[in-house]
Amino acid sequence: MARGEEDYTKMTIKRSPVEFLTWKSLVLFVTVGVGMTWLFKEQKKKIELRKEAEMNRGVGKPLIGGPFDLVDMNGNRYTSDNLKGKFSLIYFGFTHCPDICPDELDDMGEIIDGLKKKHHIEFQSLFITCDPVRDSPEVMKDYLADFHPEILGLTGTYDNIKKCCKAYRVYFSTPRDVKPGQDYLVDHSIFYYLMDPEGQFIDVLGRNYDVNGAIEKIKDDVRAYEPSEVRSKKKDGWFGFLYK
Amino acid sequence: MGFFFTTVETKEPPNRSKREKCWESRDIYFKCLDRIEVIDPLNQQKKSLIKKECGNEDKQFEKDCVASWVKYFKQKRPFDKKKERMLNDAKNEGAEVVQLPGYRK
Repeated sequence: MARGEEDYTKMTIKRSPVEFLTWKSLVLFVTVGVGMTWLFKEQKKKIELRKEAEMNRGVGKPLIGGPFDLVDMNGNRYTSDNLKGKFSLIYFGFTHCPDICPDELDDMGEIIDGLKKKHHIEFQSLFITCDPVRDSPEVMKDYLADFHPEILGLTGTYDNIKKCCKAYRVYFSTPRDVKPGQDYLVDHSIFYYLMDPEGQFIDVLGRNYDVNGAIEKIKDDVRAYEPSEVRSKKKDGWFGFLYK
Repeated sequence: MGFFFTTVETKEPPNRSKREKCWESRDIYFKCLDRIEVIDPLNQQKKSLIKKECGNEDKQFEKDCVASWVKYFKQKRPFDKKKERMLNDAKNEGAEVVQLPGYRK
């Protein structure tokens, strides 16, 4: 070995263990690791929810939802076009409901407040009657006065309600011709439907969720939401395979 | 809007206070049935026993709730009792009832 030349092999062997094992580098390593894991998990969850939403939307014609033409409790016309621009939570029921609907409507109020306070998410909440013969706009308005002020009641003609329930795959058993003042109950399915700002179906929430569970689920769905324009762009983009 | 004119004559739905009154009377009546160990209030064989022991509670229940609700709650009771019994049996066998987070009890 010539004079003046340094022995690099010895230097690296001596120095490297010291450099890599300082507490600072360890902390950095762990933080970056934890951070990346969390990030990947979040992204993975979002992609999964998007996939689920995409499947729910179906190809071409949506599986759940569709055009409807109803009247709100203030007497104004309310159609499926009014769903556009906001997320909507839709609940089907009837005002003479003995125990489940009032409970669910109370829950709906808590969900509205919870999403607003905890996650700053606002959406419109609709209560569509399955009992149009008894539930006039006036009756709906009086009835909903007991619940969260943001819940908007919708009713309509028997045929329009029937069409709407059919579009949302809501089963109900209201008799068509009932005598005034007749006392009867309506069997119907109990679900909340979450619709996106394009009026398309995202998710359905059943009785299995409690208020907090519903709040978290809706929050996740809303956060994962992307407008159809962005979705179709992504499908054609580099990472398109993730969305197929 | 001829459609809505026909609905004006129909009865108003029970409001919150009326609902709560109805549920309260129902609970009193059901408690009485618990006492005489009757599960199904519509059981024809127990009819006279129910009338004798819980007749007043039954009358109050039928007064505070519309007829369709009375029928509904009476039909529902055996199912609720069955559910209660199953949960109890499971507990007695040492099974743990797991409450999943985010899900209804």
